[in-house]
Amino acid sequence: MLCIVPLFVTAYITRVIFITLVFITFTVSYNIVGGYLGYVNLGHGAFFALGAYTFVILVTKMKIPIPPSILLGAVVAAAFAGLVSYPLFRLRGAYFSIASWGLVILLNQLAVNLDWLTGGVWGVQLPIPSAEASIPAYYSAIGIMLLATAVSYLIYKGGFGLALFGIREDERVAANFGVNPFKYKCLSMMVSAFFAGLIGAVYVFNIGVINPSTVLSIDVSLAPVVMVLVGGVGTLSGPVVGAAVLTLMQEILWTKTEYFHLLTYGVILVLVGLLMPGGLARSKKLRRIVVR
Amino acid sequence: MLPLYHVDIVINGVLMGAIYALIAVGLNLIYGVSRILNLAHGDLLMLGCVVTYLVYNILGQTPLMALLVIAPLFFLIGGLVNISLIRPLMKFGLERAAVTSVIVTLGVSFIIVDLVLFGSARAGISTFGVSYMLPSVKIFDIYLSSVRLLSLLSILFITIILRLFITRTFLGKKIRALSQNREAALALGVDDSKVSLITFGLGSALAAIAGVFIIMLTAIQATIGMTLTFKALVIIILGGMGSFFGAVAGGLLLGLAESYTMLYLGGMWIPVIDVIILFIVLMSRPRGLFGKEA
Amino acid sequence: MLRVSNLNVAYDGIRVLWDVSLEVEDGRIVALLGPNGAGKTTLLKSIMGLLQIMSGRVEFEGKIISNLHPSRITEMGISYVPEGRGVFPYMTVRENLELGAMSKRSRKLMQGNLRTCYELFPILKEREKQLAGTLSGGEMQMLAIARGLMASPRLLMVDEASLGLAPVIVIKLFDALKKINARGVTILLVEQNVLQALDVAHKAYVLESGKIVLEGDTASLKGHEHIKKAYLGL
Repeated sequence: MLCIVPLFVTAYITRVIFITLVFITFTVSYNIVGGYLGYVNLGHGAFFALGAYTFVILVTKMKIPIPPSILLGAVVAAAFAGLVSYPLFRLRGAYFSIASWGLVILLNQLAVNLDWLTGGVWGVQLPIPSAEASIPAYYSAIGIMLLATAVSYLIYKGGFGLALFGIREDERVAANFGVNPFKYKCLSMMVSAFFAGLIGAVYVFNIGVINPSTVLSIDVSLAPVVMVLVGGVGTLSGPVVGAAVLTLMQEILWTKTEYFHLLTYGVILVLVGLLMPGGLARSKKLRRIVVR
Repeated sequence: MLPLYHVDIVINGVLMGAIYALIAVGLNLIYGVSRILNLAHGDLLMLGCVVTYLVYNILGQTPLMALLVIAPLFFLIGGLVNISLIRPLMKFGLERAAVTSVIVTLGVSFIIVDLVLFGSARAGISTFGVSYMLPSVKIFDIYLSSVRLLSLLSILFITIILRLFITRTFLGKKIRALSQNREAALALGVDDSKVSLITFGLGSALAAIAGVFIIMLTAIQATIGMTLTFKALVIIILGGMGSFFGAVAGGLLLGLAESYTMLYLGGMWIPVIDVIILFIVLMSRPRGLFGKEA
Repeated sequence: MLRVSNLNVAYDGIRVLWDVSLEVEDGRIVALLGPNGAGKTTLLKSIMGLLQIMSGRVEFEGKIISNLHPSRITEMGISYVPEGRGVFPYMTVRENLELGAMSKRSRKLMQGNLRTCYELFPILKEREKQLAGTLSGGEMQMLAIARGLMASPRLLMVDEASLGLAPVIVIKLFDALKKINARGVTILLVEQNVLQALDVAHKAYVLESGKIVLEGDTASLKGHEHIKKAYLGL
């Protein structure tokens, strides 16, 4: 049904839907680690950005066609996630969260420093006219969002998800049941990163330009954290609902004023954290699923 | 004999390191007592910078005078944050509170940053700088910045007082007890919410104090908060969790590492080096240098 | 002195104690026996205010103390010596003892209490300035008990004192407990070492799977069939 929309509405609305699809995928992918596994990964935005930058570099510098570049962006993001899993998962809880933010700090600085590769602070403009890109990007986004949601569903219902929930509820107990925690943590991080990188590349493909402030700023990198909270952390539909709601809110409210974007996020975080902790990380409903 | 500029670099490194140590110790104190890592810690520091800036540029007082205002002010602010946001969380049990506090303190961080961004945009400022100068001091043929020397001595003084507080006073012992064995401390009757309240205030004051010294050294922007919280984390892991001495040692080491990075690679590589150091420590010796906990 | 009535406690969503009732009379030593995981530690922690009580009541010296904060409960005169000793490893023996005196009342009596502790456990005086983490298991247990005494308690709850300790040390510990009791401190003792416990206690309860299955004075319990079979291997 979404597929026929562009035929009937303005380019602006198509764009809004596109952005919504991007953030839904971004948030669904975040939820795998942030919600199912229970590790608040503040560095998720780095995977998004890495996919985006890899895509841009491959297309502009190495002249690789667009579709494989998009895929490679996702692969690089997943590989990066796999690598950093080793040091990062030596930490837990808030320590892990702050350390994971280091990924965004790292990528941000690298993007600025390696300007011969990334265009530095000013970034790179894609040599594709925006009109030409928006339709394929839109349909790709639909496809990717559906794929990501499907994978999320499979994980949720299957043994992999069970293992993740087990680790989230009580890591020691899960280990006693034969679950190798690291393997699951690393894998979930890689899957999560894959989709983030994938949609990051498509996002930039549509926008046509990339620079650190569009893909690595706080309000982009940490958007999924807020979105998933609104929708319900660790649930299946939560990230979708949260992302959709917040993206729409952003489009409506934020175009009115350039201030207070971060403030809105902050207030949401504080309020949800204080008033609805049932939705956060420890969900009693899921506890019973974890068989003792 | 090393060229003279090394002295400058070392002094710079030690000074930055000492400041970092203050930040890390504050964060560590709070964590030890409540098992909560305040993600907004660095933003409180940034606020300390902003207040110093205002005090200096508007009231015309020296930054060191600002210290006298800032310490109690941020003690109160920390206490307020604790009462309004952290204490309600603790009712859900320690583990749940630890997870939820990441979200809540992140939210506080956003709010603080955005308010400062808004305020500074209205006032037309994008960076905050305090150009406070004192005549140089000459020791052994080297000219040293008095501001830096003064800062270093002040921080040394503060650290010593802090150490004495933690080891000699009964409250300090309660703080140590809570961090070494929380349940036993509770069983003995330690009032953890009161100790947590005071420690939050103390830690926040330390962060803001660090801010005073930072803005005397370099100009800052409203967004440095999260990066500094991250640096504090690197220090805590490098020095070892739960160790006061570790936080100090880690801070000094990081300060020196950054100072030399600035020399050989340029300041823009400092954040990268921070992350690399973190990963190296995590992969080779996760306990850190003087770690007391797992 | 201590009366627990129909206590129900859940832990992490799972019920651990089912309708538990027990009574500790003033001046006695009461033992709480039972296998691992029966809920003995949960019971002590619930009395101490460290765990949430779902329903039921805990009364101490006539006052209801259910679900009070542990700091209030220490003030009222109950001390808890945790399972696993719970000493503060990076603080000295002396500092550990000082921390036992949390309330104003016990702070005033600190010097006197310290002397008593050192009399009971002379080795602690020797190791006064040593870090508690460097002590042997038996010494740590003595420190934990002494620390509990520093609060001038009227009821001392000791959790698994004998765990992991050599029999010689266990005998010394229980001797010390007898002496403490002789000075007027009531003791509630959780123990896996049934023989020792029955020797020293006046009365005992047996807790299995969160329920009290047996109670009685130790003389009669020693001859009880179930006890002999399940716990004494006879």
